[in-house]
Amino acid sequence: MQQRITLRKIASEFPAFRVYQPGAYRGEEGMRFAPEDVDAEDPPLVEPGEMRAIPVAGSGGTGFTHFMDGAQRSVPVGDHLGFPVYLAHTSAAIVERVNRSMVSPSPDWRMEKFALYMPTFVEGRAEIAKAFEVMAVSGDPEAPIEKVRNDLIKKISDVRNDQETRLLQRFDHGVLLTDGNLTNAKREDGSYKFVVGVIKSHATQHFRSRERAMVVLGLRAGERTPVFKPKVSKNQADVYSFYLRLHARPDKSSLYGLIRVEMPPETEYLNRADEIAGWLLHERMPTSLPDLRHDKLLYPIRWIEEYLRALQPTDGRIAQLLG
Amino acid sequence: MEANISKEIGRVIGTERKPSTAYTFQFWARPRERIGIGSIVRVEATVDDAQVTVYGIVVEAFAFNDLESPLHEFLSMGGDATITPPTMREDIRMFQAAVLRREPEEPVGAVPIGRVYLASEDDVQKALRTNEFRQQFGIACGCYGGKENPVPVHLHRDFLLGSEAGHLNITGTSGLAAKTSYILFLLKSIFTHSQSTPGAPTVATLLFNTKGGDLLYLDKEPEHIIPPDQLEIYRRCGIEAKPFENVEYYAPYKLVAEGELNTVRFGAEVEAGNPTRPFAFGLQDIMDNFEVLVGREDLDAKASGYLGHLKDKYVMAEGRPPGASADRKAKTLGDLLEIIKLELRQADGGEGKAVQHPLTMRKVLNRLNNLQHRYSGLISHDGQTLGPLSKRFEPGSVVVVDVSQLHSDAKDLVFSAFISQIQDLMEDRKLGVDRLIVVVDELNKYAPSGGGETYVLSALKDISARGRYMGLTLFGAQQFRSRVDKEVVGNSASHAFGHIEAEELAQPGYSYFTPAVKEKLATLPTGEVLIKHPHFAQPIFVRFPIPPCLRGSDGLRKYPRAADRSLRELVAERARQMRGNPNEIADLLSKMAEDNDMANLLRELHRAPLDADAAAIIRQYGKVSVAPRTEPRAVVDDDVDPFA
Repeated sequence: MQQRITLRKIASEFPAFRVYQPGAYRGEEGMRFAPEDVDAEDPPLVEPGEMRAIPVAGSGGTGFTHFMDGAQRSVPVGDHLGFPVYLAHTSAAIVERVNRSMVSPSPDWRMEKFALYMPTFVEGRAEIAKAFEVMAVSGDPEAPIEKVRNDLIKKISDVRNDQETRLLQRFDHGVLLTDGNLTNAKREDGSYKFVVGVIKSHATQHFRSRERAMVVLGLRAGERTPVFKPKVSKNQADVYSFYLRLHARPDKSSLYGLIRVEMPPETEYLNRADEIAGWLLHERMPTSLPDLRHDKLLYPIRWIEEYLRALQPTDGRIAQLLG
Repeated sequence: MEANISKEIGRVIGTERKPSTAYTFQFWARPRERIGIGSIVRVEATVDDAQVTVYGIVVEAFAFNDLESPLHEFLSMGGDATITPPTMREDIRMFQAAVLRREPEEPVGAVPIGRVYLASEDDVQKALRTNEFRQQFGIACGCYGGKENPVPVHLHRDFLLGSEAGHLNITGTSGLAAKTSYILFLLKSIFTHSQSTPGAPTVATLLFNTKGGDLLYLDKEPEHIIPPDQLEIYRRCGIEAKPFENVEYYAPYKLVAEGELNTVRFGAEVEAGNPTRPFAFGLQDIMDNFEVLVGREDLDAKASGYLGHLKDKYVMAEGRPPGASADRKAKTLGDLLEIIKLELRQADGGEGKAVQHPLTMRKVLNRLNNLQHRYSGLISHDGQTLGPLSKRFEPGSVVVVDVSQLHSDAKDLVFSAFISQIQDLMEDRKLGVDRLIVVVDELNKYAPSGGGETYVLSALKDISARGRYMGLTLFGAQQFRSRVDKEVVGNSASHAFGHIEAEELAQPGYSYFTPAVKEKLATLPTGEVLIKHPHFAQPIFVRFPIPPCLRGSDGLRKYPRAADRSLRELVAERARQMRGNPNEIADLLSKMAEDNDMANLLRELHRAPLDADAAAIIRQYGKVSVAPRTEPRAVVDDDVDPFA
C-alpha cells in the first residue's frame, strides 16, 4: 500500500516546523506571538553572557509560600440610549499554602467588589445608587458609544488591579508568586517583598531581533533565557525578567508551555534566577488539567481562580438582582 | 460532639443535577470534621423570613477533587506514583442525608440551602422525637455518637412492648456478639424502666438457652472488665451495670427416671442460692404437641382423628376403655398406652365397634411408645407439667430455659410446647405480668419463609399479630432476615441489625438501605446495631455495652461440670441448697437403705420450693413407699412397624 503523504511527515524533517495536533489548541490568539506590540529594540540582558538557552538545574523543591491572583466578571445588564451599563464583580486574593494544602484566605487577604458600572450622565444614577453600589465613569455624552464602553471595561479592570495592588502592598511575609506582571509590586518606599510574577500571554515581543526571538521560541522544556530588563512605560516600575519553558510537545505551538517570569530589579533576584526557575518547574505538578491553559497555568494559581470564581455571582443571582 | 453545642461544619448543596428533595439533601463538610454514615446533622435556613430547621442523618458519603479524568492525574504526575507534588489537589467531602424531622412540620418542601451543624445532644433528641416521650415512655436502646460523649437514644415503650405497636426483630451474624448481647442490654433497660418509672407496666422475660452457656450465668458477676466508655453508656442510659436479679433457670432431666438435670449449670458453687429447676411436660402437653413430636408428615388424618378421640375421652375427661369395669382418666403416658392397648384388643378381636382401624391405632400406640425413649428427659413421669409455666410470672423475673443439651427434635418439642402454652396463658390473661417478653432465637428454623405452616409458625404468627394487645411481646432473632416468615418480621415494630453478611444484604429486603449503610452493616463492629423504630423517620446506629454478667464461656470455665455423681450425692447436694438442719439431713440420708428410690426423692426435692424443709421431705419420703419406676418398653418393635 502506498504510504499517505502528510504535512506532519514532511515537517518531521525540519525540527523548527511544528504541525499542531488537530483541534488541540484553542483559537488563533494562543498561537500569536506579540499580537499587540513589538519593542523597537532588544532589551538589555542583565545576566552575564550571551542570549542563550540555559538548562535549569532546579533543587526539586519550591520556595513559594503564597500565591495571588485576581478575577473579574462583567455582564452588560442594560444601556442608556445605547451607552452600556455593566454589572461587574472584581476580586483578588492572596492564598497561603500550608502543608501542601491551599488554605482559604481570611477576609484580610481577600478583596471583592460587586457594582454597577455606568457613565456619569446616565439618568436615574442617584436612585440606582441607593440600592446598588455604583461606579460611575465620567464621560462625554457626545463621545462615541464604543469609547465609553471601552472606558467602562477599563474601569472594571482598574478596580481589579487596585484590589491586587492593595493586597500586594499589604503582603509582608513569605515568598509570593503572582499571576501577571509586577507593575504594582513596588512599595511606596521603593522596596519589594519577595514576589515573583508569571505572565502566561505574550502580547509584547520583547526581543525584536530574529536571532534572540528564536532563542526564546526554541527553548526546550526546563530551559530559560538569561535575565533581561524589559522596556516599561513611564509609569511602570523596572523589573527583571526571563522566559521559561515549562512544557514542550512537538505537536503543539511554539508558545506551548512558555511563560515569562518577572522579578524585582534587585541583585538578589538576579543571583537567584536559576533557583526561582527551578521552583516554577517544580510547581508544574499537579497540572491544571482540564483547564485548556494547563501548559502555562500553575495549579496554585488555578486554585485561586476557582476560588474567586466561586465568589462571583451566579446567573441566577444576577437575574434576581435585575428583577 | 459537645453536649449541647452545635458545631457548624458545612453547607447544603442543591444543584440542578442533584437538587435537595423533601426527604434527602446533600451537603459538603470540611475533611477534618468527624462525620460519617449515621451522623446526625441539623440544617438551619431562613426561608421568607421564617426560620426552618431540618434534621437529617448521613446515609452516603462522597469525596472528589477537581479532576475530570483519571488520565489528567496520570499525566500530571508523569506516570510516576512516587512523586509528591508541592500542592495537593483540592478535594471535597460531600454527604447525602435523609431527613429525620423538620420544624415547622408543614409545608413539607425541599430542604432549603442552609448552614449545616453537627447535632448536639438536644438536636439528637429532637431529631428522633425522643424529647417528646423520653421521660415517661423512653426505654434506652443504646447511645448515639462517639465514645467521648455518647447520647442516649430511647425507644417508645408502647411501640416496643405494646400495645401501640410491639415486638423486636434482630438480625445478625451468629457468633459476633450482636444478637444475644444486645437483647440482654435491652432487657436490662426495660427492667430498669419498668422499676423506675411510675405507671410503667410490670415485665418479665422468658429466654431459651439454645447453645453453650450464654444465658446460664445472668445473675453472676462478670469476670471481664467493662471498659470505661461502655460503663459510660450504662450511665448515660440510666442502667446499673449489674447482673440480672430474680433469675430462674430451668432444665430438663437427663432421664426422668434418674432425676438428674440435663444442664451444664450444675454444682453447688454455681447454683448457690439459685439452683436450676426441672421442667417436664405432662400428658396434655404431649397430646397438644404431638404434631411436633412425630412430624407433620407422619400424622395423617386418621391418626390425628384417633389422637383427638384419645385426648377428648381419656386425657381431658374420664372415659371407660373397652373391657374396663370403671371410667379411667389417663394421667401419664403409660396410662394412655394401657388404654390404647385395651382399645386395640377390642378392635383386633372384632368386639363391638372400633373407633379407628386397628392399624391406625397400632401406629399411634407405636409412636406414643417411642416418645418415651426419644424424649425421656422431657416427659413427666407422673403426667404433671413441671416448669416455669405452671405458675404465673413474677414482675422483674428472668426465666431461662436451658435446652442446650437437648437434641434438635427435643428442642423443637420444648419450644413448641412453651410457645403454645404461653399462647394459652396469653389468651387466658394468666401471664402474671403486664408484659411478658419471649425471646426466640433461630427464627430461621422456627419461622422460615416459604415453608409449610407448622404449629410453631402458626403460634409465632399469632403472637406477633395479636400478642401486643394481650401482654406478650416477641423478641425474635435470626441470622437471615430474608428467610424468615414475612408476617413474623413484618409485625415487629422495632428492628435491630447487627453485623450482617454481604450475601444477606444483597437480598431485596435490604434495598431500603443505601449502599453505604449496607457497607457499614457488613463491617459493623461488635457493640453496635442499627435501630429502626416507628418514632424514628430513619434507622439510627447506636452503640451498646457488653452485658454486665458472667459470659457463657467464662461461666463454663469457672464452673466446670463435676464428674458424674451418685444419686445419693445429688440428693444430698440438693437438700443442702434447701432449708433444714444440715446435720439432720446428713443423718437421715445415711440411714436410708441403698435400694431406696433416690431418683424419686430427688425429683421430690426438685419440685419443692427452696425455702421448704428438706429434712421434712426426706422424713416424709421415708414413710411413704414409692414403688421403683421402670422405664417403659416399646410395645411394638420398630422393625415390624407396618407404618415405619
